[in-house]
Formats: sequence, structure tokens, C-alpha cells
Amino acid sequence: MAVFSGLTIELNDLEFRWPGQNVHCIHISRFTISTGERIFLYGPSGGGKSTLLSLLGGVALPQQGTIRLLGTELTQLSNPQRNRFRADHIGFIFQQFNLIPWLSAVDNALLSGTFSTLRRQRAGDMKKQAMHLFERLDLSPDLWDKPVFTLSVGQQQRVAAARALLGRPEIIIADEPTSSLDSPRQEAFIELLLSEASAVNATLIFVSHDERLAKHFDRKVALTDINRPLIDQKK
Amino acid sequence: MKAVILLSMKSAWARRMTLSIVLFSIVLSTAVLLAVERVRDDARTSFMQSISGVDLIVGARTSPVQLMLYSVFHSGSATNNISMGSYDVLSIHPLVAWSVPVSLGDSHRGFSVLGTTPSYFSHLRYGYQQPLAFSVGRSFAGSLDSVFEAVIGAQVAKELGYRLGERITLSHGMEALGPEHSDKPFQVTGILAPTGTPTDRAVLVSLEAITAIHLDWSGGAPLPGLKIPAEQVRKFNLRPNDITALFIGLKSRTDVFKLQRYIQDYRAEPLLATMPGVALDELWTTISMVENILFIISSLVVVIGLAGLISTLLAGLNERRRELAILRSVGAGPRDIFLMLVLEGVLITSLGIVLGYLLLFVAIALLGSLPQLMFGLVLSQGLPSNQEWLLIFAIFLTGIFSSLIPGWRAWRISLADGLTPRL
Repeated sequence: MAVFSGLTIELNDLEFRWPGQNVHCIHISRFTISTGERIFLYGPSGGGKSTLLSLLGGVALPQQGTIRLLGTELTQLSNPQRNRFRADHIGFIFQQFNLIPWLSAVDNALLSGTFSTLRRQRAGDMKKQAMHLFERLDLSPDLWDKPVFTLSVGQQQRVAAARALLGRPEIIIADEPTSSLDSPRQEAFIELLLSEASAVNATLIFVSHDERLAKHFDRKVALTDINRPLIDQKK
Repeated sequence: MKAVILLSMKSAWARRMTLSIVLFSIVLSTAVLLAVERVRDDARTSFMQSISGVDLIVGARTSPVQLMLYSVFHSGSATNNISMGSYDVLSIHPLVAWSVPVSLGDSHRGFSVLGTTPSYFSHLRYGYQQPLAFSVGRSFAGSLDSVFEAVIGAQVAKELGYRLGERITLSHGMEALGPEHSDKPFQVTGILAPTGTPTDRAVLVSLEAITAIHLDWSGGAPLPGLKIPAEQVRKFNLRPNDITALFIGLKSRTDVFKLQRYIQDYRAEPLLATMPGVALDELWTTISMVENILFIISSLVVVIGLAGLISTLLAGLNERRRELAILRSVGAGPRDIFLMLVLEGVLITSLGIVLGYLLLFVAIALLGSLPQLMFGLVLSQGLPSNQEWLLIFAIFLTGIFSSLIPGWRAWRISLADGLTPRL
């Protein structure tokens, strides 16, 4: 394992195409994110955003290139090791339906400790930490043990944020988490997310197609600038 | 692993409405399969134990199975009888230790009437050499002074509510509403303890009594104009002309083939001698065909139940793609997802087996008296037998294999979907 370079995320010569397609939907020569940085990544839908997130999460493997997270080369890890790495170091928030319908709000948040001993250890008392986060995210206690389908979309997204933050992972990846919220709620959610990410000193990647939200972030990156899809010449 | 077990249990609980239907079908099919096995086992045991201590059964020449059926199980009727002459010769044969004659053909309210001698109670055994015992009373006297005495089996007493001293009349033939020997009532002098054998469902009287009630009968109907009152029967010779069958015990069991050959070659009358064990085996092979078919059908019912499990879990998977993606995002591998689905199937199968066994237990407790009343079959209650454990294990194993299918499908889905479910 290489020495941690101070870069939380480092991509080099990354090439990925889905099986059976001759277009490399990801082709990134170099892209880095420093520790603690809050990145706004935007691009049109179908631009390879989801694929990039799958690569960062270690769910997909590139055909070429390296993905270095926190000094660990993901492509060198076995499948179970990558799953463990994702569990330990990355918190995900998706667009909507982030929650498992048959678990309460608290149990949904506690899911981040299910597959990660590290995050359970970091949190100390997981349940206490979850409730603490709920309070900070402005979720009133009477919602905590309710089935999640009784929660509003905004409340659901805050539960998802609590899950992503619980156990202080180094990286938070938020994939269009506000697109199902109305404008004022979007702003509020982003502010909450940013302050909580800063509180645990996490690197944040916020993906959106809505450029207006970029103003809240340290750096704004257009996916089209770093990603240059290739037609595979060999095929 | 523990977390995955917990997750799959919670997930199953969340879909309990759908799953309870497939659970129900597994419970029922398990109960049916185990019930068939239980009936098979108990029927075989009670069947094989219905007579013991008898070395040879002798009757008119027929098939061993036929002879067994009517002489021991009182089912069907003899085509021919044995003459008293043959009985006399056989009963004093040097190899014979004891012999008990039986005469069948009459009935009492559906229960067969067995004419015999008091030695029936001392020589005939059931189960593992258990002698017949009286729960109350004594044997019929078998003397001329008290011809009209009867001993009844435990089931007869229970079903008809008879006690000692009860006066009963016999009917001619096996139909419950056949012509009655109503002019010659019998008094119950003894009730036998339950044995789980056809004896429980028999009324036992002396051979002389059988002759006595037929004195004024001919060809299966009362002779018109002839009436012989009960008090006067002792004036007649009550020794019967023939008997239906003869149970023989030998001085030495090693002589059984010698005597059997002697009886087969007996010149005066065509006779058949069969060893009860051999005939029972042969009879059982005939019956077990039916039970094997039942067993196959109930096994198929279990397979159908498990097929329902597969299809239910598979059908649910599409709605759960998002759920699987969320679990993937918090670190679950495709293996965890696979395990979760398999566990869910195994959980339902196990629960189905346990509940199925309980259902069988309750069903026997509540309805076990029905087969006893109808066929004299006592169903045993208790922990699973070895054979039942084997079946339970087989169901469980099939359940695991069935669960691999939705598990494999979920594994494929979670690999293809990753973090973004394709819907």
C-alpha cells in the first residue's frame, strides 16, 4: 500500500466501459481531490456520473488505470476487500429512496455499521451517535422509530445523510441528494450536509446537474472537462 | 454473518403477508408428508403385532393372505371351513402343544363375533408376546350351563358403552342390520384390555354358543315354524360340525415346516397352514403399494410448496432492487446479498417444518381417535422417529437447494446493478 499522499482521491489514466459496449464511458487521464475538500461535480445525465461513482465505490472495476482512495489502490483489492473498504470509508447518499422500507429511521442510519467494524468503533455507541446526528440534522425524536415511509422526502434524505455520516467515514459521496426537494429545502439540506461533513472532516463529493447549487462548494468540476469518452479503436 | 441473519429476518418479517401464504403451504405439505409416514409406520407396527405366539394358522385351502385376512383381521369371509374331524386330528398331533379353534361369520352391531374356546385368552398373544388381559370380568365359561356368555374387546365396550352384565344379541352375517338372533341374548362377562389389534373390535363367545344360536337356522335364515328357546339348547349336541380356522402353537418351533408339510399333504380335506409372520409380510407388501403411492404424492406436495417458495422470493426480488443497492452502498458484497436471500428461504423452510410438525402433533391429539375408531389404528405421538428425522432433513435440504435459486438471482442483480438499480 502506498503512503497517503494527502490526496483523498486520485484517479490516473482511468478507462472504463460497460461489457458489450465499445464506447468507454469513462476516460479520465488525471483527477484528484484533496483531503477535506468539498467538490461540486456536475454534468448532464448520461454523462457517466453514476459510473464514476460506482468506480469510486469499488462496485465496478476499470479496464485501465488506477483509483487511489486514502492511499489505497482499489484495483489491487479483492472483491470482499473493496466491499469492506466502501463500508469503512465511504458514506453514500442517493437521489431518493435511500432508505430500506422495512427498517425504522434509526435502524436505517445504523446500517452503516452493519458491514463495518471500523465505523462501529469510531462511533463508539452507534445508536447514541445516530440520535445525536438526527438531532443535528433537525429530525424530531418522534420520527426516529417510525417506519420510514411515513417520513417526508426531505426527512428521508436527512436520515440518509445521518447514515452516510455515522461512524465518520473519510469520504461522503452525494448523488443528486436534493433533486427531489424544493428550492428552500435544497439550500437547507446542503448547508446541513456541508457543516456536518466539515465537523467530521470528511471529503465531500456532491454530484448534481443543477449548477446553481455550486456556490456552496470549494470547487466546481464539470464532468465533461475531466471525462473524455473514447470510441474503442480496437473494436 | 450475524448482521445478515438479522437483516434477512427483518426483511422476511416485513413481507410477512406474502410469505405467510408460502409458509402455510410448506407447513401443510410437511404435516401431510409426516402424517403419511406416521400412519405408514404405525399401521405397519400394529399390523405386524396383531398376532404373535401363534406358530401356524390353519384354514381351508385358499391363499395365505386370504386366510390371514379373515382369521386374524376378521375381514372378508372364509370360502370353506375346516371339519371337526381335521380339527380333532390336528389338535392331538404329537408336534402340537396347543390349538385354538375359531369360528366366524356373525356380528354384533358391526363388530365381528368370534366363536372360540376359553383357551383363546391364555394362548393368543399380540405385540411382543403380550398376553390378552381382562380389564374387568372373566372369560365366558364355555360350559353347557352358561352357553350365552360373551367377552367383548376394549373398543366394542368403549364405542357401545357396554358394561359387565349387559345383555346383547348377535346378528347373522356381517351386516349391522342383518337378521337377529334375538331370541338368544348373551350376557357380557368380561371386557378385554385394549391391545391395538383386531381383538379390540371383536365379541368373543364359545363355539357352542355359535352352534346354539344356529340350531333353528338353516342356510342363513331362521327355519320357519321351528323355534328352540334358549333354555332348551343344552338338550342338543352343541359341538359344531366345522370351524373357520385353527391357531396352533408348537412344542418346538423348529418343527414348524414339518407340521406345515403334514397339513398341506393332509388327505381327508384340502387345508392350508401358514406362518403368521410370512402371511403378514405378504399382506403388507400388497397394502404398502398404496402407502408408497401416498408417500410419493405427499413428497410431490412438499416439492410444490418449495416451488412456491422459490417463485415468491423471485417475484419479490424485482421490487427489492433498490433495497439491495442500498445494502451494497453500505458495504454489502454480492455474497452477503446471496446469503441474505438463501437465509430467508431457509428460515421459512425451517419455520414451515417446525410448524408442520406441531400441526401434525395437534392433529393427532385432536383427531387421532378417528383412525382408531374406523380402523383400530392407534397413531403414536411423540418425538420424530429416525425415519421422520430423515424426512425432515430431506425437506430442509430441499429447502436450502430451492433457496439457492433466488439467492443466485439476487447475486446476479446486485452485481449488475451495483449502486444504481436499473428499474
